[in-house]
Amino acid sequence: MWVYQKKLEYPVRVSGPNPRLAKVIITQYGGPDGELSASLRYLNQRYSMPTDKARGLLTDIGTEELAHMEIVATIFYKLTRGVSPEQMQAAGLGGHYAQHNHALFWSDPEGVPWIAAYVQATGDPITDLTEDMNAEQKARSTYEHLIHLSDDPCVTDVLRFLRQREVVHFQRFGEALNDLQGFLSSKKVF
Amino acid sequence: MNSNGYQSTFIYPYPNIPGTPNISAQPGVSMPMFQFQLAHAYVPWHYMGQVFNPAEALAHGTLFPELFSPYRG
Repeated sequence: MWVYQKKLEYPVRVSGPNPRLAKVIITQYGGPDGELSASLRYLNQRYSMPTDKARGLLTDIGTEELAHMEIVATIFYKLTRGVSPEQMQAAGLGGHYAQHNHALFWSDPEGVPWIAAYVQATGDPITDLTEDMNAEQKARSTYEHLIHLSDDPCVTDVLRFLRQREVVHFQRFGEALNDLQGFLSSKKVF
Repeated sequence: MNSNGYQSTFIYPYPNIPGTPNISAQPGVSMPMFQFQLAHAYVPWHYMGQVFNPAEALAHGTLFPELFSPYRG
């Protein structure tokens, strides 16, 4: 189970409506390397991890990624709040408006909906942890692209926080991989 | 040695892992040996050291100064 805290992990402020920025940031909500992919990947893979430590790590990071999805959702919501259908259309969000009005939806910036094929669970802990490290790097790269595209310093500040978390997660998944590969407890260690 | 007569496993002493402290320098601490194998991925272990205070940690996105790696691009 989860315990919900009615606050964001990191506060989200925006300088004002900015549907053009919202259009690209949606990729971290429902794109291939976004926070939904991350959270569901980790929370699903944990069942086939062989140690409590690895299961616990995937639970913790998967939970944090859910919190990041909430942050990205808040950014999109604030950047499109009060934006007219004409402004949505001009920013390339006409298709989004037609189907979802100002609601959130899991898609990439081109409107391609989220699919489960973005994530994998092979049941091989080494394979899955290597995918997780890859996923953190892809998310880091995407945040860097978004930082380049952002013209709102308040949003950029949040993107930098989220990017840094991917760096930390990469380290932790790498340590889990070290651990599972067993070179600390190998019988060949002397 | 593997069946081809080549050494298949590389044994490195702990301090050879980049970015990790040399605990063998600490008196009374024996130096663990790690085993690195080809076609495996590893990251250096992170050890608890100095930490930011909570407000600094939130601003940096990490509690750990050595993991803070801001984007300069």
